[in-house]
Amino acid sequence: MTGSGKMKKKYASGEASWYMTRKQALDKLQVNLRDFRRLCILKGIYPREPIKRTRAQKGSTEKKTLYYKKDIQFLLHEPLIWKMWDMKARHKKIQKSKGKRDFEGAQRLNKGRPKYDLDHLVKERYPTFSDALNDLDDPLSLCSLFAIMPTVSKLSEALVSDCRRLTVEFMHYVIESRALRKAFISIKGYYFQAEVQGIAVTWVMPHHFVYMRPENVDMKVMAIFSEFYTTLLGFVNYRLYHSLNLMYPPKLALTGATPTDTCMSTRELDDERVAALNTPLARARLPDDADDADDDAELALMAAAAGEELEEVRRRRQRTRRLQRLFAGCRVFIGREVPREPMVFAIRALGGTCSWDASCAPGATYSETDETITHQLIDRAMPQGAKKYTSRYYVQPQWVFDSVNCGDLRPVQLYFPGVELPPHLSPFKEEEVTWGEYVPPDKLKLLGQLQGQLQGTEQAAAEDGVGDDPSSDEDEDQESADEKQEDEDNEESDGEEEGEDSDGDEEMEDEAAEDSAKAKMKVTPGKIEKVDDRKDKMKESKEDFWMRARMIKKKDKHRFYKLLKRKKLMQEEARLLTKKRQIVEKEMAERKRQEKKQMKKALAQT
Amino acid sequence: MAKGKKGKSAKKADLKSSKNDVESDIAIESLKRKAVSDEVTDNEDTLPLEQDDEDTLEILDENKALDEYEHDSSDEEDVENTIGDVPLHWYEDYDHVGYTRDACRILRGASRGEIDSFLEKVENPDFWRTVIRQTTGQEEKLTDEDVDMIVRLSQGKFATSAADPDTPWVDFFTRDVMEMPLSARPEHKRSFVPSRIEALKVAKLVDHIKRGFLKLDEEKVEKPRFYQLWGEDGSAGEMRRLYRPQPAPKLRLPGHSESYHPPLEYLPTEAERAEHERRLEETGSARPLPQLYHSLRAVPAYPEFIQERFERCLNLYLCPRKTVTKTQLSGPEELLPELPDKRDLQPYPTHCNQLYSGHKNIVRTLSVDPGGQFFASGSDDSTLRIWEISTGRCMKTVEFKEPVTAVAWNPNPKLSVVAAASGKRVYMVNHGLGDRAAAASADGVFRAPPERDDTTVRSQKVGCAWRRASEAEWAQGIRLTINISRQCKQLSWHAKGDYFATVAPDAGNTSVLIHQMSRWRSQMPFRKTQRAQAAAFHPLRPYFFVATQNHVKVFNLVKQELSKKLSGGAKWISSLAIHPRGDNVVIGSYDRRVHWFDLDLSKLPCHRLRFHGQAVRQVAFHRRYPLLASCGDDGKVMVYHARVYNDLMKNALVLPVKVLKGHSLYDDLGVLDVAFHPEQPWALSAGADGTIRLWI
Repeated sequence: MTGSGKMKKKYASGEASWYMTRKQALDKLQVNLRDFRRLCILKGIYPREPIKRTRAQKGSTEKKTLYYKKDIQFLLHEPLIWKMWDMKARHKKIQKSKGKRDFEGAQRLNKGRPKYDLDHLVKERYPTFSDALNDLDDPLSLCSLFAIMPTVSKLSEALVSDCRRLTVEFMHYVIESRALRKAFISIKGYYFQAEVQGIAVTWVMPHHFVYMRPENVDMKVMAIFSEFYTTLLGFVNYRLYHSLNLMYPPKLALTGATPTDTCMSTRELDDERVAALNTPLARARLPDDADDADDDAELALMAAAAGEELEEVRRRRQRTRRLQRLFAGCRVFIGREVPREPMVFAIRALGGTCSWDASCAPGATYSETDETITHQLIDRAMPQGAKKYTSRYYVQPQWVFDSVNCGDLRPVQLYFPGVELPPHLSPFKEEEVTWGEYVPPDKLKLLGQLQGQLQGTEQAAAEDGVGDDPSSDEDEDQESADEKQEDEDNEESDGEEEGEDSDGDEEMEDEAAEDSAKAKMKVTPGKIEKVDDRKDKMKESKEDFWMRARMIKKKDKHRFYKLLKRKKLMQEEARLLTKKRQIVEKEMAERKRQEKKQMKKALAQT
Repeated sequence: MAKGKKGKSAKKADLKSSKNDVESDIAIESLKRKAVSDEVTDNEDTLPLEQDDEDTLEILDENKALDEYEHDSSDEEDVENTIGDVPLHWYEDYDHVGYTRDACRILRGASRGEIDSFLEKVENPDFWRTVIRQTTGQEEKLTDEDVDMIVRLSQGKFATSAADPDTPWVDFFTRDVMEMPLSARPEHKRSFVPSRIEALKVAKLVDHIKRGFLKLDEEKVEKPRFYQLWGEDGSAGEMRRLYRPQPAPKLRLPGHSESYHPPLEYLPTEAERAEHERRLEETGSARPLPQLYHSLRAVPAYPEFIQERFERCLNLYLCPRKTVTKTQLSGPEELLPELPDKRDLQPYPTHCNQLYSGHKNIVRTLSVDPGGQFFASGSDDSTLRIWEISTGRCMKTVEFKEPVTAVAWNPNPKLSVVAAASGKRVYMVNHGLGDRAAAASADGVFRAPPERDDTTVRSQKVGCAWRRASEAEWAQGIRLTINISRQCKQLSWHAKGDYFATVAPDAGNTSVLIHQMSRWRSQMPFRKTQRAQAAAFHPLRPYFFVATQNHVKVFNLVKQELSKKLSGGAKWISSLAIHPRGDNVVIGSYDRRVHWFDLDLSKLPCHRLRFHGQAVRQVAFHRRYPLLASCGDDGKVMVYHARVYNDLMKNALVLPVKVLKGHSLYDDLGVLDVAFHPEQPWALSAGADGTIRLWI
C-alpha cells in the first residue's frame, strides 16, 4: 500500500537530531574529558545554544551541554585525534614495558613518541589571513600575560619564552608599519589598538608586576589556549613581516641577533625585550616608497566612495598620516621610574626615538646629558640637586598616551611634573549621543566642540527630560515679570472668571456662582493665556512618541521596550554623572577661591 | 676470617673518619695543642676526646693492621671481647661491654668523678694521651707513633712518613689487550658459536620491521616552524570548515571609568561604594570601581587580571553560542513605525473649545442634531438638556423621574424629535427648536394614535405599551412614552427617521426591539437574543447590526436571516459604530480594545487598536471626514484618521492622530460618550465629571 510507510519516530529528525550531548560526544570520540577539552580548544569547537532546548534534548528539560553533531563528526576526522589515540596507545606500551622492567624498550618507545603540530588547524580555523587578523585580540592579550609570567610547573619555559618572543615580534611589526592608532592606560593594564591591514586589533598588556595565581584558575586550560595562540601568532607574524619586506625570524639591524636570543634570567629577558623594541629591525630589501602602495589603496577607496564620503575618507587618511608621524623629531628620555616597555612601544610606533639611563637597563641609545633630547618622561618630583636642562620639556608619561589619542602633541604645560594631570580619557568611547550616553565635558573640550555643544541639540538629547534649560527658564521669568503688571490690575476680577476659564478647569459650577454671574451679567476683561510653544511642542512630540509606540508591530515590541529601558538607564546614568560633575566643579571652584584668598592674605602679611 | 673482618672495619673506620672529620678535627686539634705546648688543660678539652675515642682507636687499629700478619695467630690472645663486630651502643644500658672467652663479663671501667679526673690530670703526665678503649673499657696510653699519626692526619698529610706520594700508578687491569691470556684455560665452544637465542631475537625484530609492526625511527627532516601559511588573498583554500561557525563576541573595550585617572565625576560616592561591597558579598563578583591614581607610578597590579583572562578562555570553549541577528540601531526610535506627517491628516479636533456645564451628575449620553446646531445630552441627574453648540447655551431642559441612559436625535430634519431613554421607558421629546414646521409635523405624529392593524397583536406580544404623554408631560415637550420591560441602554435610529431600535441588555429575548414611530408599534426581530449590548442600522442597505457580548451579528432584514457573524476576541463589547458607507464596523470593548472589521474581507478584525488604558465606552465615526473617535474610562478621547479606500482589496488606513485630554475621572468613570459634529471636524464628549466638551 502506498502511503503506509513506517511510523515516524519522535525525535528522529529535525532539531532533536542536530545535537549531541557532551557525554555522547565523549563516547563517540573515545577520549576522556581532558583530551576532549584539549581537542575543543585547539580545534575551536564550542557548544551551541539550541533553538528550543526541550526539543533538542529529546524532551528532557534538564540543561545539558549540547554540541552540533556535525562538529563532533568533524572532530572524528581530525588528524589530531588520530595522533591522540596513537599517543594513548604508545603511553600504554611504555607503561607495559616499564612494568616488564624493559627500560630500554620503554626508552625507545618514548623516543619515537608521536608529536602533533597545529599548522593545519590554523589554516582550517582561519582560511584567510584577514580571518586570523580579526581574531587576534585574545591571542595577543593572553600571550602578553604569559610573557610576564614566571615559568611554573604548569607552564613550560618554552611556552613562556615563545609568548615573549611572539608578542615582541608583533610589537616590532606595529612599530615598523606605524600601525598604532589608540593607546590607553587603564587600571587593568595598557590597552593598545593597532590597525593591521585595515583591521583594528586591540590588546591589553598587564601592568608589569608579579601576579599571584588565583586558587580557582586552571593554568592548564590557559596553557592549551596559548599553545594554539603561539602557533597562530607565529604564522601571522611571518606573514606580516614578509608584507613589510622584513626578515623572519627578525634580526636586529645593529647586532643581527634575534630580539630575544640568549637570555638567562627572567629579569634579563625583560630588559632584553625592551632593549629589542628600541632597535630597528634588519630588512630583507631596502624599503620601497611605502606611500605608493598607500596611495594606490587610497585611490581605490576614493573611486569607491563619492561626494561626502570622499571628503570623509580624505580627512580620515590625513589624520592617520599625521598620527603616524606624531613623535617624529621627538627625542625622548625615559626616566628610570617610568615603565619602559609601553612607553618605548608607543613612542617608537609613532616615529619617535627614545632612550633611558644605561645603568638601569640595556638598550639605551643616548644618555641623559644629550642636549638634543626634546622631552623627558618623569613620574616623580624633580630630584633634588639634579641638573635640569632647559632644552627639554619634563613631562609625565600620560602625555605620550594622551597625545596618541588626540592625534596631536598635547600642550606640555598640562603634564609638567607635580601638576594636577588632566583626566585620562578612553579613546574607545565614540560619541554616541543618540542613546543619551554621558560624554565628559573634558572630552567635548578636547574635541573643540564645547562651544557648539552647550546650546546644541546633542546636549539636549543627552539630558533628555532631565530639566529645562536654564536659559529658557530665564525667558519665562522675564515673561512673567512683564505680565505681573497686568495681573495686578486684574486681581479683583480673577475670582469670578473661573467659571469661563477654558483652560481645563473641571470644577463644577456652583448654583450660587451661576446666580451671581447672572445677577452681575457684565463683560469682564479676559485673562491672557500664557502660551509656551516649547512646552507644547515637547508635549506633542511625547504624545506622538506614545502613539507610535502603541502602533509598533508585535514582533518588534519586546525589543523596542528592552531598548527603551536601556536608553532610559543610560540617560539616568548620564543624569547622575552630570549631577556629580556639577558638584565636583562647584567644589573645585570653592577650593580655588579659598586658595586665592589665602594667597592674598599671605601677600598682605608680607 | 678475622683478618677480613678487620680489614673491613679498618676501611669503614676510614670512611667514618672522613665523615666525622669535623668532630675528629676538634679532638685532634686539642691533642695537638697538648702535644705542642704540653699545658695543663681543662676538663672541657678532654671531653671531646672521650667522645670520639672510638674513632681514634679504630684509626689506631688500622695503624696496627699495617702489619698484616701481626695478629695472625690462632689463639688471638689480645682479643678479649668476644661480642664480635656489633655496635657498642647495644651495651649502653649495661655496666659491662662484652664477654671474655671464658664468658665472664668485661666490666666497663669505673667512671671517674670530676675531682678524681682532675687529680689524675695533675698527677699523671700521660693523661692527655690516655684514652678508654671501648671494647674493653680499659684505659690505654697512646704511643708516640699514634700521636704522630694523628698530628699528621690533622695537618692533611699522609698518615705515616713512610708513604711516598710520588710512586707511579700501576693498573691492575689495563685497557690494553694482553697478548697472553691470564689463565691457560681454553675458551668454551659457545664463545665461537653465534647465540641461537640472539639470532631468534634478531629474526623476530627483522620480521617485525618487515611486516611493519616495528617502525624504525625515521630521520626527521627539520622543517621551519613558521612559513607562509596563507596563499594570496582571495583564495580561501579548499579547507574543511566548521559547520555554521559563530565567531565569539569580542571583549568589551574599556570606557572612561576604567582609566587610571578618570574624570572626577566617575569616582564612586560613599553610597555607591557601599552598594558595590554589598554586591560583592552577595554575588562574589562585581565590576571594579573606578579609581583615581594621581600618577602612573602609583598604579598597582590589577589582581583580577589572570582571573579575567581565564574566564575569557572558559567562555571561549564552554559557553554555548547562538546566532543573534543584531541590527545596529541608533536608538529604540528606529523601530517605531513611520507615520505620515500629521499636517497632511488635518482637519481633526485638537483642543477643547467649549465647556458645557449644567448637569449635576454624570453625563451618560449625548446626541447631535443632524443640522449641526444643537445637541442633546442625558445625565444621571434625570434631565435631558439640549444645548446650542456654538454658544454653549442650554436651550431646553426636560426632567424625568429616573436617570437618562440614552439619547438619540431623530435623523429626519423634518421632525424635531429626540428619543430619550429613562428607566424602563423611552420618551419621544419634541424639542421645538429650529424649524417651526418641523415641530408642528412632529406634534402631528404624536397627537393621536394611528389606526391599529394586525401588527398590533404582535406588538402586544412584545409587551411594549405606547402611550400619549399626559398634559403635564406635553407641556414639558414629551409627546410619547413607550414602556419597555427593562432599562434601555441604547437607542439608534434608522437613517430615515421612522424606525428606531432599543437595546435593553437585561431583557432576555426582548433585549433588542425595533419600533416604528409613525405607526406606534414595536416588534421583536429575533426570537432569541442573548444580552445584546448595542444595535445599529446599516446607513444605506437593509441590514441590522447587533453586538452581543462577544460577537457582532449582521442580519439581512429583507431576507430575514443572519448574514454574517464577526468575532474578534473582544471579551465584552460596549459599543458599536458603522462607517457611513456601511462596509466597515468598529466596536469598542470593556477590555480596552477597539476593533475594526472590514465586512468585505474577513470575520476577524483587520485592526486592533490599543490606545486606551481603561474600558472603552463609545466609538463614533464622522459622517463626512475620515475620522474615528473612541472614548474610555481613562478620561481620554482618542481621535484616529480612518481612511477607507474605494479599492475593496485595500485595508482601511487607521492612524492615531490626537489624544484629547481634559475630562477628569469620577467614580472610576471617564468619558462615557463621544460624537462628531455632522458637518465640522469637531467632536463632543460627555464626561463623568458632569461636563460636556467640544473639541475643535
